[in-house]
Amino acid sequence: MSTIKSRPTYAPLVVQPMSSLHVFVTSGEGSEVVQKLVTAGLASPYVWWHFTDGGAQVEAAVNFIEQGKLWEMMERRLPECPAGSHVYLAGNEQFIWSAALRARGAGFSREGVSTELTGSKARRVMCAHCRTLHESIKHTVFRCDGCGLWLGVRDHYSRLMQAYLAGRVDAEVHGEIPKPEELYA
Amino acid sequence: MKLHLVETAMQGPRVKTFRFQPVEGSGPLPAYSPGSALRIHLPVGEKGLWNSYSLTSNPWVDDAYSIAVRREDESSSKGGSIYLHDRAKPGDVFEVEPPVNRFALSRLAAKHVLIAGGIGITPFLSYLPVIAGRGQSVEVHYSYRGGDNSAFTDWLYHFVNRYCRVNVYDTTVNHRMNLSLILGLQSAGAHVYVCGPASLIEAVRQTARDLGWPASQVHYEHFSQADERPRRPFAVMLQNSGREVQVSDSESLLEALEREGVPVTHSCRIGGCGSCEIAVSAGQVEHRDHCLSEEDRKAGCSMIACVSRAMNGQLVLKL
Repeated sequence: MSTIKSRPTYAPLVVQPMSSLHVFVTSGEGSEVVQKLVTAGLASPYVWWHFTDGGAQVEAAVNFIEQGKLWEMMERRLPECPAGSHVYLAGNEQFIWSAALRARGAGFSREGVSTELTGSKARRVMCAHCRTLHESIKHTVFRCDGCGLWLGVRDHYSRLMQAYLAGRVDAEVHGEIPKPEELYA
Repeated sequence: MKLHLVETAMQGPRVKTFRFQPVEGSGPLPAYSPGSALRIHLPVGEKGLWNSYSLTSNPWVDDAYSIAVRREDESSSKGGSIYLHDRAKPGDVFEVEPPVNRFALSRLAAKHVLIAGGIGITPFLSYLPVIAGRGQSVEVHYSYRGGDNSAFTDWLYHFVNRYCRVNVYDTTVNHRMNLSLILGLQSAGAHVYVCGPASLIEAVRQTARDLGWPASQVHYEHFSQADERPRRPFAVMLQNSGREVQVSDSESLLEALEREGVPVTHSCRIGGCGSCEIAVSAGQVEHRDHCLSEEDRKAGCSMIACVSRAMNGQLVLKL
């Protein structure tokens, strides 16, 4: 287990029984998780916004083909949600933290937002040296598209950038590159 | 540090404000954030008293520390507020500790809901100018017992505009807050802050729980120990050194340990902050704090040294 505090941890979504309103926000396969909760029955009302991400639409949800439209909906509607509302996010990591940023903007505390990671665990990674962002990184060591340095992916995560940090992996002895491992499949 | 009392003023029959400035040559006052409290040493009794008071001044513009003190009845007070009201006069010098904040404003709140009972209005006096300066929305709900005790209402009304609502309640005419309504009508980004009697704090916390508020959006500060139970003497055994320390009925465990030279970290001294939590290995604790959870109390493995005592005269501490 990583000791890095900023590394996000995820848990299967569990319905918060005291919540006055459940707000589900999903993308791609994330809808399957929420479908189970909704099918099992909820004591309080709910809203469900789903970004299809190129996949099928979900019958029980308001579907968004464009992600930007979903963010607009969140920015408009979350500030009006009653106290005691709970936000549930399911999707890939970038999706979760982009959505979490909107919840935070509406004043939701961390406690008021649950997250479950579904789909690929590939990371968005930022080079600490030239700030180039890389999508879908699956290996612990890779070569930066921006500055060409060999980078080691860290567990330090920025919720603001929705990216992990990577730093030069051969800083001590130049040219000594550890073997990349595919850890983030 | 040492401060001069420079000015006092009555705010109604029982509340007096005190304004302090640094003694000459001691440099500017340390800055503080809204909600901070000042610990001040008062020459009452043999050893004196350290009392904590919320700062009421505007954190960003004032070059002085202001506090507001309600004069407590002789029967229910250790004498601190009576000393300040009856004896303290401009020119007196007091020993104080730099302000600490255990009741901070949330930076991320979409709206602030401030609930005060009586003199519990004081921390909000430093909140309001800051909230107004940030342009954030705020609601103030202030209840008091009779118009004589309605200190600062005129000052509060100055802040009223489309972002700031002020509601006052006089409980002597049975005009009371409807907490379910106040909390129930808020949106999800609101934070509630409550300061006042323990019963009000408990009612707000319970209502918020029932409405599904996350605990991190509910902030509270107790302003007094407010425990009517008699303080009985007891003995503690310090497990590591084998020493025994007697705690008399006129002192707290924390004071007794300090007297014996046993260092214990501490802050508020009214059982609110949890800094002086001590592990207990044997004996039953009479919990009087506001910070341990029900689970902690049931487990019985720790106590808050500044207020809690022994149930049956004897405790063994992991010290």
